[in-house]
Amino acid sequence: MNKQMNIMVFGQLEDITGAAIISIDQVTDTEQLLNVLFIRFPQLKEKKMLIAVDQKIIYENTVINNQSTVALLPPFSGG
Amino acid sequence: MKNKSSYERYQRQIILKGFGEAAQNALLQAKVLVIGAGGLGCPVLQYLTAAGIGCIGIVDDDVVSLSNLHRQVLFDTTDIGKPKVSAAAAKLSLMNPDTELREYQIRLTNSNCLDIFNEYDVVVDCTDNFSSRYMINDACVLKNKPFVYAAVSMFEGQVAVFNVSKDGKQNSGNYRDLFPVQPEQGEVLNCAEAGVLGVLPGIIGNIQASEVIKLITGTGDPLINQLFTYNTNDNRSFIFTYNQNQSASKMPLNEQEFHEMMYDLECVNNQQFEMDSEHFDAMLIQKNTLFIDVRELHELPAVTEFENVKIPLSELKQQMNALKEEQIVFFCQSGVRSLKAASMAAEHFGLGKRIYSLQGGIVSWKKIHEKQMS
Repeated sequence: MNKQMNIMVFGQLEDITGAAIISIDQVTDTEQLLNVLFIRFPQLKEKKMLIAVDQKIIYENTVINNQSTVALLPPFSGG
Repeated sequence: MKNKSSYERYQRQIILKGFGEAAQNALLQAKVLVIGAGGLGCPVLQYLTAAGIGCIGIVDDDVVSLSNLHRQVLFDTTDIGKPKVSAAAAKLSLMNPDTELREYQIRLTNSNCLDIFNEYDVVVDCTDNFSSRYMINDACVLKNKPFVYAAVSMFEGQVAVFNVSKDGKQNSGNYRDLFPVQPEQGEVLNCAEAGVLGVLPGIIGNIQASEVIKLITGTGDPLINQLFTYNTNDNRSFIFTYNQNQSASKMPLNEQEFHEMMYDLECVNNQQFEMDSEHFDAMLIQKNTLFIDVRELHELPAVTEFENVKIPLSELKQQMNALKEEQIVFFCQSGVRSLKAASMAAEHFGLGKRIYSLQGGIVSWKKIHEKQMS
């Protein structure tokens, strides 16, 4: 069995992933992460969201190691 | 401190190490604009007033409703139907008569917001929609005002401090550095659709008020270039960092461009509602169809060619429940306000009605018909 990693999912993105923490096969960078996520949850493709690796929001493909914490953050509208 | 009673009022925070009379005086001289007197706005207004902010502007065009009361704790059952700004100001002035309260019972738009922002030192975003949020962001960047952002969704909240001047150099990051482009309508559900735990905006609004106080007094470390998140379910909170300079692409570069931005419409799928004059004419003979002129009552040209009712855009929200027809066709002068009306109606009625907006407005419709007559 492949090594697993956890992804933290925030806000209404949880409605798509079904859980606030999801487990996926270990990936090596954020590009690979998105590919895996979009196959498993196609609806995520349409959502605006930020990716954070080790609590740093990233904008370019970023290396993920087996200690990294990864989070998906959507915008919130409510007030 | 101007007198003994005001020293006594703030004594418990003045004696704080690292706070003192200097910080209190900074609060007493500060002017803060709070946009939105809802779930976030209520605690922000209460604690900023109690803390002794010198002048607070309150912007909200809504009235208090029963479904507000589980989270908007500044209001009570007797306030239902009253404008939020006046109901809030009445309570706040009893809490601290020294704070000057300015009421703006208006919807903030890109034609009125820059002038209002000029009057204040700090802007607090307590709004419940993306079009206001992006407009406030862009206006603060143009006017060089720091602003304290928060938003909530179901059980979670976000807080950040944006556009703070750093030694007169480049300002800190803003909302567009996080989310450069406005989400489309319906992409992110609001509290009315997705729900919100009543206590959540209380928690998040208080963190927001605390950031305002830190920013004004220069105490603590405000959430500059950071995004704070909190979840009531597991009590977990995180502080994420982000890079600046992602925001440039969609930002209006000057006031002229700002005035031309279509914040309300940016997140609306226009084609969904718009109908050309030919289809509009076909609608005129259909049953169970209501034509609504959303221009102000005095606006010309008058429309006598077909039966219609006049409900200015500013009054539409209050009259929405009185609209019984299955099909509603909005029109205005040029087609901009009617499109806004259509999107409001669609949000209100969901799939319950068919809703349209006359493309190009009544001016262009009249021109086409004059040509056909001659």
